[in-house]
Amino acid sequence: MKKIIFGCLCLMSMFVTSCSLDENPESKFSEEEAYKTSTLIYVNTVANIYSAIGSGIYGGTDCIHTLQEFTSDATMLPGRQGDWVDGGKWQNMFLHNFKSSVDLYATVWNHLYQIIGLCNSSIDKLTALSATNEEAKPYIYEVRTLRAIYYYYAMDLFAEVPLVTSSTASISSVAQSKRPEVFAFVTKELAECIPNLSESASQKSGLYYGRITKAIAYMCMAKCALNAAVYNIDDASATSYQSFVGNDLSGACTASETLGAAVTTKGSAINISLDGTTRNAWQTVIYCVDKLASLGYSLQAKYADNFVTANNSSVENIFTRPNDDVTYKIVDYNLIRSIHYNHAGAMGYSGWNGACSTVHQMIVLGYGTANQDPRVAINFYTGTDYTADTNGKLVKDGATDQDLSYEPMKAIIDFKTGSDAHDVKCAGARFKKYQYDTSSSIQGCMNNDLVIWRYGDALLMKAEAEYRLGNTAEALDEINQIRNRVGAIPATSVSLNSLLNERMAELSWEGVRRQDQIRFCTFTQPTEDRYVGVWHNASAGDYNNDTQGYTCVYPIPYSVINLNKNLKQNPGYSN
Amino acid sequence: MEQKKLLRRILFVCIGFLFSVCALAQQITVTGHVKDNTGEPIIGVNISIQGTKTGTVTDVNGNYVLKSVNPNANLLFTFVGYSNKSVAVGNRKIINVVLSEDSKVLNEVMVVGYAIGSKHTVSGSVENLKREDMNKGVVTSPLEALKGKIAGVIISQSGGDPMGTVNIRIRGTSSLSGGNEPLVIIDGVFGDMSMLNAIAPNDIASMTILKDASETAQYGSRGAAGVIVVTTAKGHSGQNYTNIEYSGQFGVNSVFKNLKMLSADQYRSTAKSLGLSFTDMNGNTNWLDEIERSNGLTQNHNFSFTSGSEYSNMRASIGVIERQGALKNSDMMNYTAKFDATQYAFNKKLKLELGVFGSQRDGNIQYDMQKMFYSAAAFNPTYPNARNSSGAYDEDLLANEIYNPLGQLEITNKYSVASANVHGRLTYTILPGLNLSGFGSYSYRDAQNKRYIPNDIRQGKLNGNGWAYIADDNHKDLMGNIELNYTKDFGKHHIDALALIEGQDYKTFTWSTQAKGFETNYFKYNNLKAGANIAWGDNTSYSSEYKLMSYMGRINYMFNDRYIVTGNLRADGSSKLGQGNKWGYFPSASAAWIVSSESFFKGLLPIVNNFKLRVGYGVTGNQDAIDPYNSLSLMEPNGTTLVNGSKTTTFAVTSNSNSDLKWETKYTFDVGADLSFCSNRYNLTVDYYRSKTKNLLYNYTVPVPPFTYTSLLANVGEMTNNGLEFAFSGDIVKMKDFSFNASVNFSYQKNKLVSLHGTYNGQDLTTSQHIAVANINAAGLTQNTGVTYLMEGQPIGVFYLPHFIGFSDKNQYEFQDLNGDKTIDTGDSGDRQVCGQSLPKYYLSMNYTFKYKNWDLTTQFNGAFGHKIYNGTSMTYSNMSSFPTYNVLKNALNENNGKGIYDIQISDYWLQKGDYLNFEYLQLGYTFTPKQLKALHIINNLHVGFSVNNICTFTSYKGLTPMINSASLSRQNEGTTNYGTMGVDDKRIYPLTRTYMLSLSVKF
Repeated sequence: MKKIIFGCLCLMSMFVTSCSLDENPESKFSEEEAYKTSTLIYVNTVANIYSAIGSGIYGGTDCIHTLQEFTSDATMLPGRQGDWVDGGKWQNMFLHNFKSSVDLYATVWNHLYQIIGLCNSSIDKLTALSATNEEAKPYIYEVRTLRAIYYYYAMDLFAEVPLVTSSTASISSVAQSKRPEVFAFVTKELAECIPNLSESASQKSGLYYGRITKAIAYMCMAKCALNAAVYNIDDASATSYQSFVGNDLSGACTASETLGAAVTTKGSAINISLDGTTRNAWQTVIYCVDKLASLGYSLQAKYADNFVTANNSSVENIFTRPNDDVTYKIVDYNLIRSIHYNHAGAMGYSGWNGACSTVHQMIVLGYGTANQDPRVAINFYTGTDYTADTNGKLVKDGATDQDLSYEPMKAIIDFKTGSDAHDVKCAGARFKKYQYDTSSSIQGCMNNDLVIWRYGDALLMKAEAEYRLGNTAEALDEINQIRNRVGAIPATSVSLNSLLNERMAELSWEGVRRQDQIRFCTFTQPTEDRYVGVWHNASAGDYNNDTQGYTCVYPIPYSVINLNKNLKQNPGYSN
Repeated sequence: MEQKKLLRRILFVCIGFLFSVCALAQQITVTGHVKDNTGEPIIGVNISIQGTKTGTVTDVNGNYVLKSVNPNANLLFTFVGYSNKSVAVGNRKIINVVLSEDSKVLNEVMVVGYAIGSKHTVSGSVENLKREDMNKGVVTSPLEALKGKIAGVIISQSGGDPMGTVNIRIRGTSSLSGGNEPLVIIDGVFGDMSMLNAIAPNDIASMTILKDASETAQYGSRGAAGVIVVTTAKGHSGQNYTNIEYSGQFGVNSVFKNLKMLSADQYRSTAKSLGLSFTDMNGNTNWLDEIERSNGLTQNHNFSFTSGSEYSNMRASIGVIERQGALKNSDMMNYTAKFDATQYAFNKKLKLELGVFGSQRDGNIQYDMQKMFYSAAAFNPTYPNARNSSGAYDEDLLANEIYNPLGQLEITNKYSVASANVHGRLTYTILPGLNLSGFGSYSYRDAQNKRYIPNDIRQGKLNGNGWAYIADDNHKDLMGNIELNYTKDFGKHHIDALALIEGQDYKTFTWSTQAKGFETNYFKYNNLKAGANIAWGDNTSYSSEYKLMSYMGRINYMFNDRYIVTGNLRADGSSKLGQGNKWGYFPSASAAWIVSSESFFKGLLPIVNNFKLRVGYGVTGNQDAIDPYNSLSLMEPNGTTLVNGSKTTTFAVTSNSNSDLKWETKYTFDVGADLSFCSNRYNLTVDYYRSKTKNLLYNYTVPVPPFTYTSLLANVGEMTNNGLEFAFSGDIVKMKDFSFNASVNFSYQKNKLVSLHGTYNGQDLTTSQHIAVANINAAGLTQNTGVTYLMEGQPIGVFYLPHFIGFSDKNQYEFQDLNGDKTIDTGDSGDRQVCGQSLPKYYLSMNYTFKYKNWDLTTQFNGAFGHKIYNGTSMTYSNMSSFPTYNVLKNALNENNGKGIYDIQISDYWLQKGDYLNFEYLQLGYTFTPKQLKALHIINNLHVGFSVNNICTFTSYKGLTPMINSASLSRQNEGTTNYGTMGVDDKRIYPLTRTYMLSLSVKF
């Protein structure tokens, strides 16, 4: 019997030893497979990060652009009686009740650090590869620049952020750095990478299409320099940004020359080394913009050509996210989110009837006056001009029996019960910037490349720097280049306020407004649309009349603080 | 395709076995009567002439007449619940018999995992449900047959979706990520709920439920959530036996309770009286009525035949089940076939068993259930219930969350699941008591989803002008084991020992394809070339594989018929886990003492004829919930880009990997007692258990940075479950013509998520303090929508909500400033508090059977208590601020003292008590007596029944029904979104239907 049992046990163990518990995945591969050819090296260390960006900077419902635009004085998303109340999310943004628990902040934070994480992995991987492969070296600079751009955004939005530069960082090693330290890191990285980047045009088809190039790095450096006065504040207390709190309480929200002069002084004291020379912040802006011009960037003859379906021949766009309905498939929600259902429906498209321009912006742009800025018609749908899209046909407003007619001056942040139903649906000038692509087979994925940065912005940045350095004539010349292009009446004088207004007219919906307002000390000022006592939905809080300036920085998302006890909330926020 | 062929072949095989011949001789006629110990005649006793198929049954007076009896034959008297009696005829013409009640019911053989034991020798917590005890009435799946029968086994199905999944929990939820569904073992084949659905309820002979770890540890890695061992009906051996059986049910279901929304006229008058402008399309439509079926059919037919001889036996069956849901385009057809054969050889030393079962289950499911019900309730009732002049359904473009319900009915969404299993066992008796067996099983399952969204409805327009989609999910599971089994009695010692080696291999291949841009709806998904647009990512395929290796040893020892000890040790290796963590060891031990066998006890309490005390402890593991390859850092396609002008795919690591992935382990302690009184007339079982699950596997939120992605599958945290179970059954009244049997089971359960922090690769890892597991989705509500949460120190699925204090003068909700920071923040970090749990604390089931002469009446009541439900449906449909774009409940106008609520926000205002007691079903049956059947000659047994289900629900819950998902964390797919639904009634509840059913069961 013992023999039998022994025999059986032998048989059993034979059965087992033939199996292995190792895994052999067939639908995913490990990194050993990922770098076998030079194309694979590029695709799997660099291009894969571009793929991951998707609509994270511009186009997503909750992206970096959303945080730059919807808290400014230019853009709002009114509660349209039940529609778009969204638990007060949009109204709180506009009324500056920044709550750390709102998903939006976490969504953006997680995107920023997802890309930074992918960059860190790629840099580590490329550094190892470059020991044996020369091809890998230039990619390191490309990815480092991309990471610097993402740290620039992180610094801009959340100020004190953790500087993580390795893919193997431990949980406990993640702690915040001071904002000036992040600034120093970003500018140093950019300065180091610039000489090693391609001079090709990223916005045009070719080897560097959609990739980080020298021009993009210069533009990022210019943006850092332009806002250097803000970025070099030690964000230690709720009043750290007191000097950026404007004092125009009239609702006109004008920029003060006095406060602006203090900013100018701060910028002049900040030195940045680039291409072997150290310059102050304003000089750096001018230097970088001149570099852009020498790399071939200039104003496109026609403003709208920067945003048409085939905009990759623009000489003005610097940094774009290539898009189409086949290869890149990025959904741009700005158009969908703004235009009326029936307007969109008539084009065979989907519209959510939400976001619109503020009344304040319409006033600044002279809407309906003899001096109306030509860019109103380029960037906004007003009245019944949407019929250009609908073959001249009017559509209904969907609430009353009246025709749809956008009402730019009737936008308010929330409509009370009993408000005029036509106004509820039609209030506010709507997004028109990008040409509607009728050839696209996927809703929202249009062939227009998404413009992140363009030379028009750069030129106005230079004008501002010149003005702040006292070179008013140069500033005026640059402003008039911008104005002449769209047929606006040339300016005869320059002030900080006129510069700020010019930027509003030129760059509406382009995600620069919050930054501009902080730098021009108007971010905390009331406007026609927001002031103490303004009506809002019950799910949102009252207008946050911030006299300390802490709202110049967003709160660290609650979900992030919750997971890492090393992190502390930005001053002024309760949690 | 292939599986259909397979089914057809099985059918042919079945038919081939149809014919069986027998012969009989005729001699004398024997008469007599059969009585029990008390002298009462027993009706319906089977009397057969041994060695033949001739027999009869006693009449109402216990008398019988048996013709053509060989004077030398033996008569066998059998009756359920009584001991069999064999009597030699010995040329007698009158044979009177007294049958005594069977005290050996407890000794009936049952499958306890790999081992075979009896209720008597088992020392763990094991429950056995035989076919005759299973639910009657509307039963179209095995789980429905089991529902309400066993304490601690909670089966719930929300809504009337015929293809819908049924949730089952044995002793509650002990894991966060899946792995909460019990392991199903059908005749030795490991499977899951979908495999169980491949079996017709009529093909099941018994179900054994292993509840505590001392027995489930036999399955080590896979037994943590309990085990259901299904033994299917087989052939009978040892006599020249043939049997043909048909059972059928035919029923009609209709909606009996629905939401009451404003009618078109009320909608108009309400809007006018509130001074609101609205779109009046001059229709008068009740959308809920439009999408519901007035009368749905349920039918279930099962046909089987069985035969057996000394050396072989077989059983074959085919069945078909059809169910039509309450919704017009929801239905299900399930074709089942099953064949089992056994053959003995070499002087019965070798036993060969073969089993085949398969099913083809086809059905239609509403594509996006919530959108459908949300639309049907809230869509403007003044829209006409027909297409407009241009052939399209009118849409209200203002109402972004809902679409024309009739348009949505045009969406085709078909599921079909083909499954087949072949298994065989070879058992060789080496020595008496020593058996070696080899078992092998191959399961094949192919699930297909085909969908088309037409181009002329709003969803079709939004999705690229017509959208066809086909997905296929293919599984091939292979398992085998070799088992050495030793049973020996010597003196007062009884030993059962077992050694086992097992291997399992699971292969999955899935693919999907889609096309958009259809100019015509003619083709649906039947010709994807008709779609003009295909983009990158529209074609996908994915394959995965995992393996499990196991060794197991078990010993069951009983001394002097009263002391029992059982020990198990199992080692499992899983390929899914991290290198170095692949193997887990799962020991268990249990002991029992049959107190009633002690001599001192017999004098002490003579009324108690069986009293057994049990205690057990065991460790089980879980890795079922996780997908393969999570421990490896792998790259997959994440987009395309142009490289030098040519389109190229990019690859990236798209999720955090965890090389430290290990077993989730559960430690369970159980103590229990089994009592029987008055000669087994009453039975009581009591169990208390505690379990602790460590290293909980879950997709935790992790800090970014240093992680690149926000979620990580990790072993973090600890959960405990404590519970008490009572089960009582007994013949309350037992008379000649009338009997009343009651069986009641009750369970109490306490769950606690003890901790949500742990370590990852040696670093401390703390996850989010509030993990939302169910959210509400409604127009005007996109922020702070979390309702039920996972929170440390609380039961799973706890309600964490803002506290409502009153309505503002704007008729909007006002909340308490719970954290005292003078602002109201309804986010997770703000003004919220724990205010109840979604998991019921108590469950109660009651089964009553009344018998009067040939009539029987069976009823069942199920209840759950001590929990709450978030009434998101009423919250959404009471929001007057979205009216008239969205229709509201009739009652919405009465809220807030008749002023209405002009707001939608999550708060405890809509949290309601969930307690209920549901009158599940009632079946009235009639069994024809042999006398009545005599005229029909060939029929041996005939039972007809009439049943009604969902009779009524006693509850204070104000929504449509409290029978929602209160216990399961698993998320369900609706349309393109994945929702958690635990504790939340959110616009996806089917209207309540009641089924009236006729059933017929015949044995030939």
